[in-house]
Amino acid sequence: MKQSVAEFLELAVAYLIIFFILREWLVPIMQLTNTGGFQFFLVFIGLSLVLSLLQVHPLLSGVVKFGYITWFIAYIYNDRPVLSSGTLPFLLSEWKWNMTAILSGDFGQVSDAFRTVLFLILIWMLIYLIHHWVSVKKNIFYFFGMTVFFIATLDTFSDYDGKGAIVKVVVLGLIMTGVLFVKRLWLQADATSNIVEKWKVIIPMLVSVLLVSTVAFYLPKTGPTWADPVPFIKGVTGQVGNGIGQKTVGYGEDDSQLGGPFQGDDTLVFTATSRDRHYWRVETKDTYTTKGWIVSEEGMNEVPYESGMLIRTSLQVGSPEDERQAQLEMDVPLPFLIQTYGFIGVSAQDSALFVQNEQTEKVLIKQHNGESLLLPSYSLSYSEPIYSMEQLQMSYTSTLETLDASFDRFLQLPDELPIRVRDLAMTIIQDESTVYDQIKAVENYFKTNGFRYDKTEAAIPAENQDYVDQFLFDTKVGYCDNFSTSMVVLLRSAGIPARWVKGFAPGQPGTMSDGMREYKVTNDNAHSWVEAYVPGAGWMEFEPTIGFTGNINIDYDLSLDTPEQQEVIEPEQKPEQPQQQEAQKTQNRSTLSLDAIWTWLKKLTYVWVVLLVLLLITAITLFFQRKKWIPKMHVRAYRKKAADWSSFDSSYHVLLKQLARIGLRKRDGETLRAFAERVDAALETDEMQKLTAVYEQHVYGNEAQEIDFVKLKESWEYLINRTIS
Amino acid sequence: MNSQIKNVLENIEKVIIGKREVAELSIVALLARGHVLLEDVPGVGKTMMVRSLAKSFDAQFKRIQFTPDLLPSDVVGISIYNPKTMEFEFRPGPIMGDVVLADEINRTSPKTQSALLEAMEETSVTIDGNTLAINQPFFVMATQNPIEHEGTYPLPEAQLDRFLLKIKMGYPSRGEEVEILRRAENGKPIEQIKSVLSVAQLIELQELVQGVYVEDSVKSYMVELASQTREHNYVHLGVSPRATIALMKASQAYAFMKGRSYVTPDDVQYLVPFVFSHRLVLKPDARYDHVTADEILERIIAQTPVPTKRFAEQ
Repeated sequence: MKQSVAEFLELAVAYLIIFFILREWLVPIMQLTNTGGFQFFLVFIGLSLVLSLLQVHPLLSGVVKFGYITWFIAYIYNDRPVLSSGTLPFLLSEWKWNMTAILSGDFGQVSDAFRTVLFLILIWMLIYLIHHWVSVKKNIFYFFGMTVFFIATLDTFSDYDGKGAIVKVVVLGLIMTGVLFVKRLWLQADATSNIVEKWKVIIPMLVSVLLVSTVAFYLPKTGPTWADPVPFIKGVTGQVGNGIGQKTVGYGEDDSQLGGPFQGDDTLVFTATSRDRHYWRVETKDTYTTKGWIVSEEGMNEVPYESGMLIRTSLQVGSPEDERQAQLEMDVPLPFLIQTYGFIGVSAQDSALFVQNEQTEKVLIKQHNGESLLLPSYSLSYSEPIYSMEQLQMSYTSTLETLDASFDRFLQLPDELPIRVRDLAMTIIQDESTVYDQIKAVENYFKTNGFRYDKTEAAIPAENQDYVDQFLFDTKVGYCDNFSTSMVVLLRSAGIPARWVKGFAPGQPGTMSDGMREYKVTNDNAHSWVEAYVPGAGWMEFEPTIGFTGNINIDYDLSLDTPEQQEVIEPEQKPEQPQQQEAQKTQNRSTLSLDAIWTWLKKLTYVWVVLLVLLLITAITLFFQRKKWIPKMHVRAYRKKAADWSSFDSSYHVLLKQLARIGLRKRDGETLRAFAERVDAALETDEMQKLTAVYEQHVYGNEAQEIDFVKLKESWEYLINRTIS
Repeated sequence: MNSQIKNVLENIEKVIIGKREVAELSIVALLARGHVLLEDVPGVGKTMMVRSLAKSFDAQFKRIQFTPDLLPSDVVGISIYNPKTMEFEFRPGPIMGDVVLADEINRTSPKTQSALLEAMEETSVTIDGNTLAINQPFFVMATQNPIEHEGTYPLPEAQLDRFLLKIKMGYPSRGEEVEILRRAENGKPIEQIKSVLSVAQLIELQELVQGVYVEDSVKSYMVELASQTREHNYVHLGVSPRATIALMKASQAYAFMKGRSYVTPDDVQYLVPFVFSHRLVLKPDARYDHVTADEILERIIAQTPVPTKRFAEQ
């Protein structure tokens, strides 16, 4: 009696642990599905566990649980009190409704109440399974593993934060696994459950689990090398490329978390016809957060413009004589205006309203009623500004001090910015005397100091790491966001007002006709660069990203006075343009043939990866479980075969193999009879010797004998089954 | 177990206590028409074993006590001039019996030893140019004191090849020895046993043994074991093909005795030490490393794969 009480207590503790583990399952489900009534579900779990623990008759336990579920539904989903007369009709009508929905295959119509019922029944089943694992199998490992996997998956792929849950589950699960293991050991050793002896084993296990968990909990941890696998997985599985709204590909809206690899996407966004090559500007951002860019005081001032009106920006505009047109045909109509440098205005066919945010200089295209409008095409008028070198050379650093407070937001830097970034900025600019030269020094810094352009190797900063600092000092590899953000931060560190610009790179130039050239701009051309304020010249664009060429027109009117500078700057500017275009062309040609295949493969990768993983898991499981399933297959196969010598012969060898799998391998010099004796001793039977005697006769003798094959088959099956259990 | 042989064994056990294995091996040699070399110190019951065996078959028992001055004619017989008939008359020696105990064979001169061994091999004796066949059953059980003892002429290795089996008798266990004493109190037990099998029946059994089936895979297993002895590092001279034949014949007899009509590798493994150990000539290294022939054979058996399929299926 005392023993059974102890056993009952043991089981009760086990169930308590199970209860807490199940609670960790329930929390994220409730949280993610936005389901209320958490405590009612908990009560149901508790109720089921208690019923199972007390070993209440299944019928009674079923009635109790079913009663609870009914009460639950009536209480939650019916407005009236449970014990009122309206409950029954409510339940009946729910039942009718859902049955109709299910029978007609219209699963979307199933009501929440019915879903709750199904969920509760699921919990019911789960607890039955757990009961089986705990009290029959005495092995909770699968459940434990699944729980950890479940929480880890949700933590990774959803908003749910499983940090605390995973610690709790691992500690509880390890303890549970340990206790059950001890129980299994006891059972195998056929030992009487001496509580003192048992605790002698359990206590060290408990202590070590708790000790290890505590140490692990308080140990310092490095940040994840792969902070967010979601974009990567999406990239690999080809779920990218619808352009707008994607964080890393195409033109995105949210830049508060920069970094991470991105996949190319050559979806055409628009085709521009223009005389000049343009950097297609969309908006600027001014506030750096150590992780990315946001806009300060968003929506401060919005100014509406009609089509054809002059739109003012903070940028320089060239002389009115040089006014030109650029025609944009949108393949993917965007809700915002694509601007050029020297932008004057826009004319569109529809009577659209252009709403400019003065803060970001983003121009949204809207209807007069305020709703968003997607224009298929529009024409931009612009006059490219020409900067005078003389003026640029006059931009002495002292002039920066005269700038007013409106520039403060372009000098903003987060307090957490590591000091070494500021130090680096000062080192880069120390030899330059003018603001323009300082900016150019920063722009050129990336070209010579071991930086690399790569879309896929770009890192994501860890929680307490600065995006710019990581790029400048640790990784030195990344794409436009890394380069442009770093340049802005460096410029600001040096006291030069700068802002981050988003838009599109000039795109793929086509053939020229009538002095106009077509530029095809794809999602791959989504780009970011830098605008810095040069006193006297205003906001100028700069291009720090390796492999890209800027687009500033500079009038080298100083040529006579300072010939060296002309030589220095000029080759940097124009000759590179054709070079780059050339490079782009060759690249396109070489990838063209593979493109189709690659795109096709990319689309399939998701399926492949899943299939491969499934296949791998299946293969591994099958391999490790081969002791169990192979013999079963054989038993099934031999049941069908005729009872004769040849099938007996092969079945005997199958048995030898199976015995080898469980560690009873016939040694080279061992005779069948000696082996059979060993097997029978190990398996506590005498069937192997019976089989072997017949087999010996068959192999070494020369006379056919009268053999009861049916009986042999029974012996054989018995042995095979012995090897499995 | 063959029932007739079982009777014989039970008969022997009335006299010899706890030497079941020796008795069985002796019968194996007898059934295989081979001879046995019993090696052990005096007084462990060698003579009694042979005598009870002979008595069980109702066979003629002869005993030759080998001494250094024993002559070949004392073994095979001699022609004596008969004045009555004016002719030389052949007086058969003790070798002409059915079951012959050649006691302490290593005490006599090599000349006499070879006369015995020749008779064993040829189952005939030649005297004064006349060749006389020895009648079946003809079974010689030679005993030999361990070689270390003084005043002996050790048998040459080639001669040992003539013995199908070499058996060691060994001391009885304490309980067995107490039982021996108990029986010795009541006079001689050998007098009390009766024959259970006639000579004619024995010859019949010998013929049946030859019909015991040896599957080719088992034959090749025997050959493999024999050739392993020839390749072994410690062995100077491995066993001869005659030994392989001996192994097969002994295996057949053993299988027959066990009541089977076919030889299994178990039979072979069991018999290998008795058939092979006295035929191996070891290198001096073996002695330095204290490795005995039995140990070498044990290793060979453990290493050689046992056939588990018919020869044709391999």
